[in-house]
Amino acid sequence: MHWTMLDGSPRGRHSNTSMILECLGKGLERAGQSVQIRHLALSSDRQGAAQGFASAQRFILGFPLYADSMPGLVMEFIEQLEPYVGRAGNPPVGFVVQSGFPEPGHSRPTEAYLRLLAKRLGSPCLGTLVKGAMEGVREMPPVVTSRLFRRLEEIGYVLGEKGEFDPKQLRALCGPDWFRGWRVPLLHLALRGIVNPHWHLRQIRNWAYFRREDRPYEVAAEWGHRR
Amino acid sequence: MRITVLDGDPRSPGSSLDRAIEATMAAASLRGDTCERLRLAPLKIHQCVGCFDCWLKTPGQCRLRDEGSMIVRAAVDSDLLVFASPMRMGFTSSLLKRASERLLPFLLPELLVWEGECRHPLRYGRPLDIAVLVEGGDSTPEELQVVETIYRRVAKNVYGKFLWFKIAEKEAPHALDHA
Repeated sequence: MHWTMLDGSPRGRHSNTSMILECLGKGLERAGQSVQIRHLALSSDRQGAAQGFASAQRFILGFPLYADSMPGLVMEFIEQLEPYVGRAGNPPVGFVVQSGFPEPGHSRPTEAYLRLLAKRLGSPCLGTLVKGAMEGVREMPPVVTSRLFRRLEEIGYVLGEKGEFDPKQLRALCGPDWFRGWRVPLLHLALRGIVNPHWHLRQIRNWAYFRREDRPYEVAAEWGHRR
Repeated sequence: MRITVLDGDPRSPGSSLDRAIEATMAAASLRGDTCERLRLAPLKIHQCVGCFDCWLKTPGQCRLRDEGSMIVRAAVDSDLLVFASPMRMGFTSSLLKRASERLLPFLLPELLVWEGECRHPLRYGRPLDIAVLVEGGDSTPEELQVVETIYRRVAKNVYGKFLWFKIAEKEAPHALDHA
């Protein structure tokens, strides 16, 4: 079986989404499947990408969460799928949604939309892999990321064997949707001790730390100038 | 109240959505609100590329030199942002989606926990209320429900109230009020 994967990240080849798809692809290949990964950001031909969907045997669409849903360029691609709505022979589709927020719960409404999208297309839905806390993973040392990559590859392998995502594996990968109970103090600690200092460090490197709270459009607003 | 309608309709004027936007603005003006419509279709707004330069290099400003800065200006200058769009493939238009992503400089990069969820703090320290006006088209009730849920989350992102979700074809003009 041939799997077509579409990376919908505006960052293109060097995105965290692309990294997840590569890991899934390795697992699929281990299960004897063939895989092709295409990057939506590297071509302006959305119609061609939509034709790629129509001619695929199995299709996976992956993207980062932007403003609580898919990036605009992914929506452009989805709009190009309109001629294929309800077409007999549309491929089964699966989805990958990743975000920088530590909680996977941010992506659940988008997951609900994707289920409805598959239904609208008349494509069997293979499930949605949701993963939070992905920002900066590409820059992390292998000792931190190797376990994550192994798990993703394993999910890809089972996807190739069973023909759909294993819900148990997906649940184990993403963890609880929201931090509750004893996890809340740990979350506060992680934000104060790791996440926010990480942003500040990057601002310092760019000589932007002391300007980090600049409000460049405020003066115009105060004076009532409308653009 | 200062209201900006982000008009994400890629079609030319004359649609039921267009009429609904006009009716909303007329009702708001009658009440004494300042209302402005920002047509997105003629604007040059590139896709946010997730570079985070607006957080890390030029705080508050996007590095893309296009008309996307008008979106942040509109947000800074408004109390209520109305997202207006026809529904396509069960969601709001890619045009509106692309524009709404350019609101990133409206926020700061740090994370805090608010109402049990991680959120980015506001750069301008002032919350922004959100409302949504869609032309339903062939959307199912489930799709409309999901879109409403997603925009409720957008309102949470900017710490504002979600005021309403209206379907242009179903609402009488006088009902398209922000109250």
